[in-house]
Order: sequence, then C-alpha cells, then structure tokens
Amino acid sequence: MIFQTHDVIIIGAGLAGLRAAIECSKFVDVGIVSKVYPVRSHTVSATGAIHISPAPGEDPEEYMRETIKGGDYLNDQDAVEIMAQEGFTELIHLEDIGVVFHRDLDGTIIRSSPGGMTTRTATIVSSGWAQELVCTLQEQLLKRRTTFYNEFFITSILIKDGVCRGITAIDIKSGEFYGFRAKSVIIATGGWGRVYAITSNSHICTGDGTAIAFRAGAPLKDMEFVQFHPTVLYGSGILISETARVIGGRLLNSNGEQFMKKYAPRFKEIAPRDVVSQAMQREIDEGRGIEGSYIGLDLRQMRKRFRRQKIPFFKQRFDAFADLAETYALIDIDQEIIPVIPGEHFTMGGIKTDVWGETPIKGLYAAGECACISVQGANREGANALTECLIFGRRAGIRATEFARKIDFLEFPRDQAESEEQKLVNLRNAKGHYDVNAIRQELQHTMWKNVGLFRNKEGLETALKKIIELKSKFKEIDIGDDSKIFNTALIYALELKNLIDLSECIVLGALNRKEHRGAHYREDFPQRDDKNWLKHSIFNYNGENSPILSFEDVVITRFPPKAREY
Amino acid sequence: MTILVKFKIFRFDPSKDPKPRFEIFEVNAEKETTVLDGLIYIKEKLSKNLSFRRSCREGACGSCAMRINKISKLACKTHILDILNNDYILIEPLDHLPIIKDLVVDLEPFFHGISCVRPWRITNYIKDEKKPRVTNMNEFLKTMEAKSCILCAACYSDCNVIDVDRTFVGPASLVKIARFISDPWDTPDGRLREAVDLGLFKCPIDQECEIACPKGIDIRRGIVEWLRYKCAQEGIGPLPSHRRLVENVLNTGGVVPVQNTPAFDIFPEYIKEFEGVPQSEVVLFTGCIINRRQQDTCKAIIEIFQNNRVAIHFPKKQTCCGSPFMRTGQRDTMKPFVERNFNIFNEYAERGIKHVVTSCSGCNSTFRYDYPQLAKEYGIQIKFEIYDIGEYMAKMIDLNTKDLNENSLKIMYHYPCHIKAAGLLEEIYIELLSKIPGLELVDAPKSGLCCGGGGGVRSAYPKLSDDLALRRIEVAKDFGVKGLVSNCPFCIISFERVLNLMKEQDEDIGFKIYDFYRLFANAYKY
Ligand SMILES: Cc1cc2nc3c(=O)[nH]c(=O)nc-3n(C[C@H](O)[C@H](O)[C@H](O)COP(=O)(O)OP(=O)(O)OC[C@H]3O[C@@H](n4cnc5c(N)ncnc54)[C@H](O)[C@@H]3O)c2cc1C
Ligand code: SF4
Ligand code: SF4
Ligand code: FES
Repeated sequence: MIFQTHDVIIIGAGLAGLRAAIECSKFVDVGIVSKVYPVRSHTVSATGAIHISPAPGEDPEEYMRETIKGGDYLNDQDAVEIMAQEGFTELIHLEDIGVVFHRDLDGTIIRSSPGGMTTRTATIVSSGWAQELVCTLQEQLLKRRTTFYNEFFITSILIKDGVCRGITAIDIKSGEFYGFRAKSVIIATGGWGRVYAITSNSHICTGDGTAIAFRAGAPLKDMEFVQFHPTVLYGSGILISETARVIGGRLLNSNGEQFMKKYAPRFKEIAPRDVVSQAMQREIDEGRGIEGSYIGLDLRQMRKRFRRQKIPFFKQRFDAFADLAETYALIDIDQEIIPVIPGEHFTMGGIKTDVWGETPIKGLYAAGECACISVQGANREGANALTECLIFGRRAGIRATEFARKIDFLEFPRDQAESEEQKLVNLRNAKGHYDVNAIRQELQHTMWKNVGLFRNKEGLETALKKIIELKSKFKEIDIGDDSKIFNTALIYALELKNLIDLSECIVLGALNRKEHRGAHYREDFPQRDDKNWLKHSIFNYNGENSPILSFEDVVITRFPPKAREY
Repeated sequence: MTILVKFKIFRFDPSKDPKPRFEIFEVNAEKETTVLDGLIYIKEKLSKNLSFRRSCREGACGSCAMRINKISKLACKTHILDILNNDYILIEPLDHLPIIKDLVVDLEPFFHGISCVRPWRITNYIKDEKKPRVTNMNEFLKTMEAKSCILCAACYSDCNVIDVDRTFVGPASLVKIARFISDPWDTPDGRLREAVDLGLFKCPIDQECEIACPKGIDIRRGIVEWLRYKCAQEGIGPLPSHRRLVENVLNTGGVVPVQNTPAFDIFPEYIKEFEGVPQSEVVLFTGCIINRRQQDTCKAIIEIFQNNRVAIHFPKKQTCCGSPFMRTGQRDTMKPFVERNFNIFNEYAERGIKHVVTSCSGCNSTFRYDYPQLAKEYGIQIKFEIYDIGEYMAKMIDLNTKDLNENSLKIMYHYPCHIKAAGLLEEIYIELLSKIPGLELVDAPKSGLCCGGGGGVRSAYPKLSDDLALRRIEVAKDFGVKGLVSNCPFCIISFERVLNLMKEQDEDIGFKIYDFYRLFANAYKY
C-alpha cells in the first residue's frame, strides 16, 4: 500500500468536486481523487444551463416558489433559499475566471426559463457547454498547483470512532493500492443513472461515493426519487436537452396530436419533467406511441423560425440538436421528428447532508448529485443541478477546510485499509461463475421495468427479490481479468456492487412511500398524501441485511404545500 | 440490416505479453452501431480483459479517442458501417503516447502540453460584484470555437510534427493558447511569445489535426494561421527567415532564386501547337517554383495540354501568389499580389477566357481560400474560375487516354496538403494516374503524411523539414515501393533535397521522386 496525506481529500472532479476544491485550495493542502480525468467527468455532457436566482435587489421569491412547487414540496426550503441567494455571486465568480455566458443582442446575459418555470429571469447558459465550467475550474486549480490523482478509483471511506480519517483507492493505471490520510473528506461522485437500462448519464455514473459512504455508515435520503427526462433518444438514451422544448419543440403521439395540451394545459411541453415524462409514458402505454414505442419531438419548423436570429446561442443549440440527432438517431431534424422516450436522468436522493454539506459523520462532507440536501425535492427543475453543484460544492469546501484547520491528523486506521486491500486482491482474482456484465444488465432491466416512471407494490416486490438474488450472485462473480494494469473489468465489478446497493435503497424507499409525489408515482396510490408522506426517507446501512428506513421532517418555511397544477 | 464485421484490435498487457499483438473479433453492426458499441460488446461477450476508456458515449467527454483505420477518432462518434472499406476495422491506441494497456495510452505528455501554456485566464478588468458585464457575443466567436475543444488528444495522435519532434507542443495546446489570446477579457502578456517558443512556426499546416478533430475546430486556418497573424501584428513573428521570403519576392520577383532559364523566358505568351479548334482555352499560372526551378514541369504541363487540344495563355506579368506569407502570418503584405494576379485573370476573363489553371497546389489553395476574402477587403471582383491542373484534366476536358503509353512502375501517390486544403480529393489524382497503363499504385497507409515543405517550415526549421520528408519516404519504402509521385512543387523540392543529402553521404537508397505532370507527359511520348 502506498500512503498519501492531504488536509482535505475531494473525491470526484465533476463540477461539485472542483468547486469545492477551489475553496479548499485557498487555505489547505487538497488532493483530488477521480476515477476519470476531470474533463471526462459526467458534468461535461451537461448542456451548461444554470439556474441563477435574480440579480441582487430583485425578488428571488418566484424562483423559490417554482423550484419548490416543481419538487412537489419535498424540498427543504431553507436550502432552496440559500440556493436562491448565493447563485448570483457564483455567476460573477465564474465569469471572472473564464466562463462566458451567452449574451443577447443588447449585450446582457440571455436568461430563459426551463420547464416548469415562468420566471424569465432564471437560466443562463455557458457558451461552451458545461465542459467549459469543468475546464475553467480545473484551470484555476492547475494555477494553484493542486494535486490531482486522476484515474484513481476509491474503494472505501475510513471511519473510526465516528470521525472520517481518509479513504482507500486503487490507481487504475498501475493497480497499486493507496491509503489517503486526510482530516476531512468531501464526496462529489455524482449520480447513479446507470442503475437503469435507459439513461442519459455517462457510463461512469454509478454512484460509487454514495454507496461507499452508505456502507461506511453515512445515512442516505430520499433515494426513491429518480428523475426521468422526457426526451432521451429512443435506443441510445442520449439526451436532447430541454432547450429543444423551451424554444418551441413539440411532442407528438402516433396520431400527430400535441398531447401535452391535455396533461398540462398551461405549460404544455414545458411543464416539469416528471409531469411531461409521465404523460409521455401514459401515451405510449395507452397505445399512442409511434410504432408503439416512442414519442416524436418535432423541431422541423424551428430552424426556419430562428433563421434570422443573430444571437450565436440559437445557432449553437440548433447545430447541437441536429448533430446529436443525426449522429445517434440518423435523422435530419429539419425533415423528420426525433424519436424520444423518457429516460433516467437525475437522482434526487443521496448522502444526507445539511446546508453546509456536512454528513452526520464528523469530517465527512458531500456535494453535487451524490448528495441530498435537499434542494431538489421530489423532482428537480431543469438547470438546478449545476447550481446545486456550484453553491453547495463551495459550501462543503468551506466547511471541510474549516474542519481541517481546526484539528490535527488523527490516527490512520491501517488495519481497515489493509483489509480493504485484501478484499480487492481477492476480487481481482475472483473466478466464480457469474458474469459481472450479465448481473448488471439484469439489474438495469429489472429497475427499468419495475421501478421506472410508474411503480406498484407487485413490481417493486419483484424487483426487491431480484436485487437480493443479484446481491448473492455478486459474491460468486467472475472478473475475467486478473491483470493489475488498467483492469477495467475489476472497476466495472466494483461499480456493480455500488449499483446493487443503491438499487436496493431505491426500491425499498419506493415500496415504502405510498403516494404519488413528483417523480415517484405509485399506481396503487396515485395521489399526493401530505398527511402521511410529507417527509424524507432516511436509509441506514445494515450490513448484509436490508437497509433500515426511518423518516425526517421536511423543512418548510415560507411555502406551504399546495395543489400542483401546470 | 445487420452485417458481421471484423474488428482487428491492438492488444498489449505489459505485465503479461512479451510484445503487442492483434486480435480479431466479430461484431454484428447495424447502421447506427458505433465502434464504441462494438468494443463494449466485445468486452462484455468475447474478451473481458480488453481495456479501453469510455464515459459519455455521446462525443462530449473525449475519453474514447483511438486510431480507427489509422485515423484518430472518437469511437463513440464513428459508425461502423461508415468506415467499412476493408476486410476488417483496424483499432489501435492513440499514437505518440506511451501505451498502458490495449487501447489505453498514458495521456500525461498530452496534458502536460496543455498545462504548460498557462491555461487560465488572467482577467484584465476589475469585476463588478453587482452586475455581469455587458458585451457583444460576437467578440467571443473565436474563443467559443477554441473552447469547444474536449481535450481528446486525437489531434496530438495524428500530428506529423510530433512524430519527429516531441518538443513541439501540439495542436490542442495551440488551440488552448488561441482560446486565451482571442478572449477579450484575458491579459495576453507573453502568450504569443510562448506560442512561438513552443513551436507555433514548426507546423507545416498539413491539417491532419483538423481532419482528426471531432469538434471540427478549424485548426489550420482558424488557430495556427490566426496565431501567426497575431504574431505578425504584435511584431513577435514571423521568424527572420519568413521575413526574408517576402524580401526575396519584393527584390527578385519570386520566393526562390532562379535556377536555369525561367519558364517565363522559355515559353511564349500563347501556346497552341495543334491543328484545329481547341477543346478549351486556359490561363496558366505556374507559381514561383515551377517558373524559377522546375521548368521541366512547365514543359510537361504544356505537353499534356497540347496532347489534349487545350490552348494556353501564359501571362508573364503574373507574380508570386503570396502563399508563404499567408501561411506565416504576413497577411498584411498580400495586397500587391492579390491585385496584380487577380487583375490579370480578370482581364482574360473579360476576353472570354475564364479558366485559370494552376500548376502549384500551394497557389491553388491560396487562390481558392485566401484570395476571395482578401479580394473582398480590397474591393476586387472575381470574374474567373480557378482549377488545379489535375482537377482540370479530370473534370473539365475530355482526357486523351488513348495515346498514353505503358509505364510499369510501382509507386505511391503522395497527397499534398495544399491539394487537400483546396478541397480536392485524393481520388482525382489516383484515378488520373491509373489511366497510365502498367502503372501500379500502392495505397498510402494514411493520406496525411507530410513532406515537411509547407507552412514556412522548410525555411525556418530545415532539419525538421528534412526529418518529415525522410519519414515520409521511409513509410513508402516500408510498403515496398521505389518512388513517390506528387503534384506539388514543394513536396518535390523537399523529397529531392533529402535524397540528395543521402547521396552526398553515399547512402543512395535507390528511391525516386516523380513529378506528377512529368510522369503524365512522358506517358504521351514513350
Ligand atoms: C445529458 C445531461 C445533461 C445535463 N444538463 C444539465 C444542465 O444543462 N443543467 C443542469 O443544471 N444540470 C444538467 N444535468 C445534470 C448535471 O449535469 C449533473 O447533476 C451534474 O453534472 C453532477 O455533477 P457532479 O459534480 O455532482 O458529478 P459528476 O460530474 O458526475 O462527477 C463525478 C466525479 O466523481 C468521480 N468519481 C465517481 N466515482 C468515483 C470513484 N469511485 N472514485 C473516484 N472518483 C469517482 C468521477 O470521476 C467524476 O469526476 C445534466 C445531466 C445530463 C445527464
Ligand atoms: S497542421 Fe499538421 S503539423 Fe500542424 S499541428 Fe496540425 S497535424 Fe500538427
Ligand atoms: S483540438 Fe480537437 S482533436 Fe484536438 S484535443 Fe481538442 S477536440 Fe480533440
Ligand atoms: S465516450 Fe465520451 S467522447 Fe466517446
């Protein structure tokens, strides 16, 4: 085992991790550990739309109300308030260090509204996609000579006597095992879209940090809430961004009807994602899917309409839609409709933290999609994810730094690390009779079929049984590659373990929550039930047994629950 | 429709294999199946220990760049059926980077090249905490283009210069430098000087990087030439030898010194040696090199046209096209050249002779791409059409093939970068050559190998230029051919120079360079 020491270790170099690192690197020595190079993180595929609350002096009330209504009142309102207040400083900071946001003809930042919102003061878009955000933050860290451990896969978080002491990781390139000693650790490992067969997420979105923290004793929150985005390409799951609908793209069923008029008379296509996705799935289920299986996203008239637009933004976005549709669906968006279905997109749940990213474990912090603060509630509004990464990444960075400056290094639990290493060596040489990939696919299809947009008791129970079966199968897997060098077979197996554990939480939460709230829809309980269910689900690890569920109140300050209509 | 396709994949696990090997797998492909889909299938079903990188699978993250049929591409953006022109699809790791395992390379040298250009903005304004700045997005167009780079390293892998000179920082780093220099909010202090030190003028502008780039960044013109132009404006460039080129033209009328009697003095102003009505009439533009050094090529061109009943107008007032100046950033010296040449062509056009043919590929791409823009700035109209001679032979006339005699040579066609830059396909020339009976053409391993003659490299970095030419010859030799044929006078000079150098050291390798036109004209004779 090779040892490294840093005041703060950050796991993950997506937007949340990098933003946290910027804060930490001001005062302490930080090491960033990421399983891919920062510019390969999932954040780079985001379209770069960020929700920024109105400028100082303007009233953020509407933005908050809509975020909370969008989240079906499960959001903790104190956290939403922070998000509404701190966004603007982030904008100024980002532009200062190199991100450029799209401008209107008058030179001011273009602001539009994502689905589910009416505030035309909300979303701004970076001109180089979210890739630009990652690049720019990383550049700042290069300037500060921050240490990056790229292509290191973390395998455990070390906790002793209720305090986080560091992590263990494997250097994917060499296969060497590492023990990282740290005073505080920030997890920023992103979402777990790959739990589902069809997802807009990258292959690497396997929720490792969340699962590892869970097994180390950190509670998870609201895991049953998984967002399905209305428009991912039929087949590949690649996302066609919400912008396509915001600028006027229509959704059509097999009769050529713009069916959203029926489900959300006011907002139509730009109702919140849960509403649109559920409507689309309903159309497909009731036999009005095109060729029985998908919905058409119609952008055919759009280019004509925007042809005279002098703003680079429109051209850039059109070209992007056209390129994606042409490359991955082999169609011409000016002539044909784009075949889309709702697909997994975002995980609202995650490691339970307070508004400073603090988990109940001392010295352990989390931010970004891996965490649940919860600002997104039961359904995230478009463009709020990057905002969350920025604002709460920064906050976690601040707190983790403060903590690290307060204490001395505690003893590193060497025995724990060594037993982790042994586990890994055993896994690398595992020659059982189950195929990692087959188990993963079985899991993904089970989740897709039974724990998707519409859920019911029977399906969820089937899924739970399956997961427990897969869990035991996992103990007898065959890795198929015992090399130490860039052993991706081993990495995929480690990821699979994490996917299984997170799936179990999702299913348990969904089975337990007997209502329809936001993205969670129980066919057998199709109404929101504030009396019994206006509360967060909390999941605690219980070794080999199923996680233990408990509940926590939602923080409600200014926006009491109301009926949700669009 | 499903097709069974063979993947021939580079395999190497340094902890196990004594040396690299190739393994063949079969994959079912439909029209939307990407190479990455194929690799994932292989890993899942056929070979669990195959290693490659992937993340986004939508061309956004740059993880999956690899060499596919010898060209660096994103596996997730390449459809299998689009590139199926062989028995198999050849998949190798990126070039110029140490191999870790199978298709995984060590990216550190590449990222080091990025970090060494101070890749962070040094903001040149004081921020207002209360208000974002008001600005015109059009000022950021170049920055936006440069920012679209996803750092996939495909360009690094296909770069010719890196192949022979690892001190060159590589195309992506130049893109990064341009990202900051073009940024109106950055303090560009010293950035251009750094670019020069890191090899800005080492690039022969052969645009291999641009062909590889999955983001379609205009690296040759939009980045390299643009940076060079900035250098000239700031007085940091061009290099002294590039400045001398301009002086040569101003003092002597051409970029290279005169060897033998210039073609202008040998041939008349109107050439029609055949009886009867011509099938067409052209205005011939030779360019400095052919006029001053390669008179035989000029003669060959005239012979080809005479054999094809094409009458030639040969205006002697024509002057250097200025390509070497454009390539080295000296855009501001172009006006006299554009005016003189285009005015001559316009005069002919007014008399009804609208076809201008060029024998030098450098002149051709300059006339086609740079002149129209410049002419617009100078208010000059364009009343004529520009053709490369090979293009003219292939597309504009009824080519006399019956009089072509046999020539049993085994050679390889060298596809000049300027022909590529003019938007002309390699196939045009290969097809023309294949009209010569008996000529055996060996396929080039990859079209973009470089002669080292372009972009001002010949004059500024002669050693680098020689190394590039030599490498190109070595590659051809590996394919068992004894000669290269090119239709660009720059290539011919570069290749002949290294062969002569070798001869001087008694290292005659029995390799020959053929001029496309001389080869073709000879076929009409013997
Ligand atoms: C296609 C698409 C488009 C989107 N567009 C938008 C948008 O326009 N606006 C918006 O607000 N949101 C958008 N989102 C959502 C948003 O992109 C994500 O929620 C956000 O990027 C998550 O960032 P993150 O920093 O939390 O994690 P990620 O960017 O996923 O980064 C995770 C990091 O953790 C590292 N990591 C993970 N596991 C390990 C491990 N075991 N060991 C070491 N390191 C590890 C990874 O290497 C990576 O660096 C989009 C999402 C998708 C799928
Ligand atoms: S043009 Fe050729 S030599 Fe220049 S950077 Fe690109 S690939 Fe390298
Ligand atoms: S310039 Fe193009 S090819 Fe080179 S790293 Fe950037 S995106 Fe890749
Ligand atoms: S996997 Fe991201 S670019 Fe191919």
